[in-house]
Amino acid sequence: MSATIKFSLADSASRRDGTCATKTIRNEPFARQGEIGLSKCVAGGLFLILLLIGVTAQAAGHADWTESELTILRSLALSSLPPLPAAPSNRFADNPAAVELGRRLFFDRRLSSNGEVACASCHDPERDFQDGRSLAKGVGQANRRAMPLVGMAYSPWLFWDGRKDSQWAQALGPLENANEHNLSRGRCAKLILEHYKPEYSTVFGAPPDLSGVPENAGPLGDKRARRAWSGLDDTARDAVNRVFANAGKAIAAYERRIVWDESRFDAYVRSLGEQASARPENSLSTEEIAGLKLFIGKGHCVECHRGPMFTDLDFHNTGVPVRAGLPKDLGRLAGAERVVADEFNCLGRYSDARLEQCRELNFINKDNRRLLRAYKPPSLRNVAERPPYMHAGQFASLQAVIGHYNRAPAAPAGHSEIKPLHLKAAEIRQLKAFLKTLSGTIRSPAAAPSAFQSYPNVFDSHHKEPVGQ
Amino acid sequence: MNNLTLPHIALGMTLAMTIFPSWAMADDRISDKGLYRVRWQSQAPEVTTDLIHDWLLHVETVDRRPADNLAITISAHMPGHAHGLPTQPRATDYLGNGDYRIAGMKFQMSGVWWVRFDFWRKNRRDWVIFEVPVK
Ligand SMILES: [Cu+2]
Repeated sequence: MSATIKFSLADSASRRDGTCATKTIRNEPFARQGEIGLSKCVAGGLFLILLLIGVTAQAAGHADWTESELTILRSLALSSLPPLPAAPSNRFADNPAAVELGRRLFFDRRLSSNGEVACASCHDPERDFQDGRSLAKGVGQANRRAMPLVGMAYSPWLFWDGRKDSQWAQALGPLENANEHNLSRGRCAKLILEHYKPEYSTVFGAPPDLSGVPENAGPLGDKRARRAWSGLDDTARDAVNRVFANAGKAIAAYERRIVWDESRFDAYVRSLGEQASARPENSLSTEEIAGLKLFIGKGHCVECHRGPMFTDLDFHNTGVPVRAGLPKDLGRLAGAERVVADEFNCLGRYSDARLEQCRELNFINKDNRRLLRAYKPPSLRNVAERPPYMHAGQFASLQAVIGHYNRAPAAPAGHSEIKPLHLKAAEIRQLKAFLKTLSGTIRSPAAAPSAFQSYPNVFDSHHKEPVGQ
Repeated sequence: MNNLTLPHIALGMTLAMTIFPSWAMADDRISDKGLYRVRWQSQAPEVTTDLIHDWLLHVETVDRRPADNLAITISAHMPGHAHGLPTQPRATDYLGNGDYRIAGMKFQMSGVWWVRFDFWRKNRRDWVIFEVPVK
């Protein structure tokens, strides 16, 4: 492609290469402050001195953000997050009875082969709806790290590889995954009607009769389950699928209301718009502000971790290493195939969306080598609260993550999009300090139900009011 | 930064970006082999929560006649960045008079993008690249 390009933008093309020229551009505000005639190559020492000048100015209460930096800061603030988007494939998404049913299903450990695994097992409200493990643990051990569920109503793709295109379709995956809830689809549908028939009927209408469906029957289960599944007629399979999909829709109605509250960073951005006299003095420390400056500048973090969710919700190969002992992982390349083939996708018969409401799926980018080992950047909100990091928990700490981006090693497969940053130890500390300012409380509908009371670590003082009900 | 260029808020907001009004329609460009004169126009996004939107692509021959019956493919990337669009846009309709609807445009990063259109007609291929600053 490059051979065909008839014009060149040397500046853009080289801006990620970490050269000294890049630094002079990035330090524009500092240079302007002192009118220092920077040569094209700035020594690291001088850079640090200039940084300190900037930091001193901020400590004195004079934020020295440029207009374009301020625009970026505002775009990152939680106040820029729009209201919950519609969920056209789930017409029960905003039905209060569905939210309540979904909440109960979410915490119900009976929905597993051993009676010990609920959605909340790996998506623990006390841990920001994740589990703190490198690899999720259900009935067995999964091949990926559990993702935090917060804010995922805004995401067009679910899972690290985006193999689902709605929260309700996502919720179905673990239920019949052998390493997670390990239910056959037939068993799952029967359990739901067994325990929640009145609630189900209230939301979805009269449930189908599943008495003719064997306990162990499903398209993804063991050999016996698959044989039993193919032995069912279309009507029976459709009845099971319908109950199964509806369970997902109820769970999604609950999950979509799991949202962030303001962090210290958000309060800081808000204070920037206020009179200097009304501004809280130290809402961010000089070190945190320096980290923020790196985040939106030299660190290039904001290119993918952008907007109020601190993610572009797309897929990127950043050269994250392979975790030994796991099956080959193609990332988005496989995820795109799977979501197109998924019978519960936006275009499938269990979706409530019209064709024109499925544009993400309709215009999906697949069959593209750039998708090999590309994964969705998670939101960085509350990131400091949930090590380990990456899709299989490859990095134990933020320090290790930033170190990876700083070195930018070659990708195990495909091509990494990142280039070395040449951050110094002090700058890595500043970035880390900034990331910690992104922590805030998480809000979710109501408290855990009685069915889940025996589960440890679910009740938490900071889960209080229902959201959006 | 004034209100006009504040990123519009929509799905994920993280994806939100507005093409500068002054860039919403590019000047004509002549394709690489000189077969076509091309310009594009971004359609205002629909009032929905996502930012997938259509472009209108006008293609005429260099002697100013509408170029119909073209097969068109679309690709884009950011110079210096190793990623493309999150979507795969397609030319979905021929609207007559050399106008093609390009559906499924979506950018996930602000900055300069190079958007390339390839044209095929009777085994003759030509292409054009537009520089598009995405805010
Ligand atoms: Cu980019």
